[in-house]
Amino acid sequence: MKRIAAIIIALLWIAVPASSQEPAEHQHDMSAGTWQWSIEGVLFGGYNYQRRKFFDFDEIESQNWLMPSLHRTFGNGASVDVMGMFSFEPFTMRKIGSPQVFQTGETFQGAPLIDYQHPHDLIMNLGATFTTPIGATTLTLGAWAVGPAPLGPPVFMHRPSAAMNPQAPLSHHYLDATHVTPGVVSFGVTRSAFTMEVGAFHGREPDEDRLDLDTAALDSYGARLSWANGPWQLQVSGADLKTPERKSPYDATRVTASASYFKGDNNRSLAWTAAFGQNREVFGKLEAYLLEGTFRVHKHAIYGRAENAAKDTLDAGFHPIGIKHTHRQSVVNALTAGYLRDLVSRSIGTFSIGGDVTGYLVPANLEEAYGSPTSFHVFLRYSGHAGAHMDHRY
Amino acid sequence: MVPLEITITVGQRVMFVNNDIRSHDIVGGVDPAHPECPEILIAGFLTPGQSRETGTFTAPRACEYHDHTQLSVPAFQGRIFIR
Repeated sequence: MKRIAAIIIALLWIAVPASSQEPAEHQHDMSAGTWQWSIEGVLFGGYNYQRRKFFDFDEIESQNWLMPSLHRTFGNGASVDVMGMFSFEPFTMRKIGSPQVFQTGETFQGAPLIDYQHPHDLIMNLGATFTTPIGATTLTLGAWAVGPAPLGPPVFMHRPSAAMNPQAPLSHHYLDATHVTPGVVSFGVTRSAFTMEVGAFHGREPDEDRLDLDTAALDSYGARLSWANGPWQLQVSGADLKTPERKSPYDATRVTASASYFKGDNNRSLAWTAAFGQNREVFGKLEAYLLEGTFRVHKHAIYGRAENAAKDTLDAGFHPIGIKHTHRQSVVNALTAGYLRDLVSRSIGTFSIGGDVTGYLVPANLEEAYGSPTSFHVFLRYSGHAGAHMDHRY
Repeated sequence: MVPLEITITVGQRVMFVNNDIRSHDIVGGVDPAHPECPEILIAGFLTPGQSRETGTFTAPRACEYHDHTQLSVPAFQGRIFIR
């Protein structure tokens, strides 16, 4: 009941500020020298059922995020953005996280999470960027107490191709898990359709205290080259990560590549993303492939996701220095199909209902432990935004 | 794990049952770098609800074991005495 109450409170918390905005025409004043604000958020609340051999999991839970930002443009074309991103998942999920068969990444009570997606930190992002044009080139400097490292495709919760899906990809920790990185300094150069970003950040994944603000040295480095033109967005990126996993004392390298497409408007749109990620660790190379998409027509949307991810579930335990054995790999294939229908659309946002089913191809070395699992979600979804400066499309 | 210690006789096996909500990985010995008592490794990785027997213990001795996913948690360390 506490979790249900937290979900309701979070829903109201998001809805109230959006409904109390000033009239839209007043907010869309983009003139230089004044601050514009915006706020947007998404909240899923629903039932999650994971059917599997030996023991089924089910949970009433909520995945959610809220993103306020401030934007100011100066007379010379330079601009400043101050951004935050917050999640109530520490209150709307169990501390161990959201049940999800085959999911891995981060820890709970010192042990690696297996079959659970961790809750996101209360403070997922908090920082600012300064952007200035120099001729045909644009320079961007970013500094974040918690921010996105220049690594991987846009995080799944910001991808139009994944926006309707309450479940994190199994490839999350191969692609976009560094969207919550404690301490990031980044520098970017944009010219024509190309952007080159480099950054220094703290490479270790967030700790288990979801409410605190982690602070640590900038000990890892990444770079991302991206190209954006019309509906297309491509990127390749890589990073050297200093002891990214709390259960391992070893460094790792992550490389990713992705292609995304989004075209349409609120009535009809198509979005898809194809991505590849590889974690190079002393225990071996773990790879994941992802293809996901969302097709929306008026009030109806269908979405899907296909993944192929190599998991080291059978050797996921703590490894002291000196133990460098190659991990056994279990290549999991997952296919999700989902449907979402808008119920009510008002100025405060859109309320929708949806559901999905995921089937899995289980590798031989996990068949005895998992059988043939299937997972289901039935949920209500709220999405809303208000203010002047919007970066996201869904 | 309950019980943390158990005494059996030579020729017997031990059944590990995972009644937790998370997976556990049963490994013999206390040092993850040097697994001991290979009979215990047969119990191995157990998902919630799953159970599996160790191999047959063929000699009298004391075998310690730990959960390889939670090395620092005493509740997941124990000992099998073979008489």
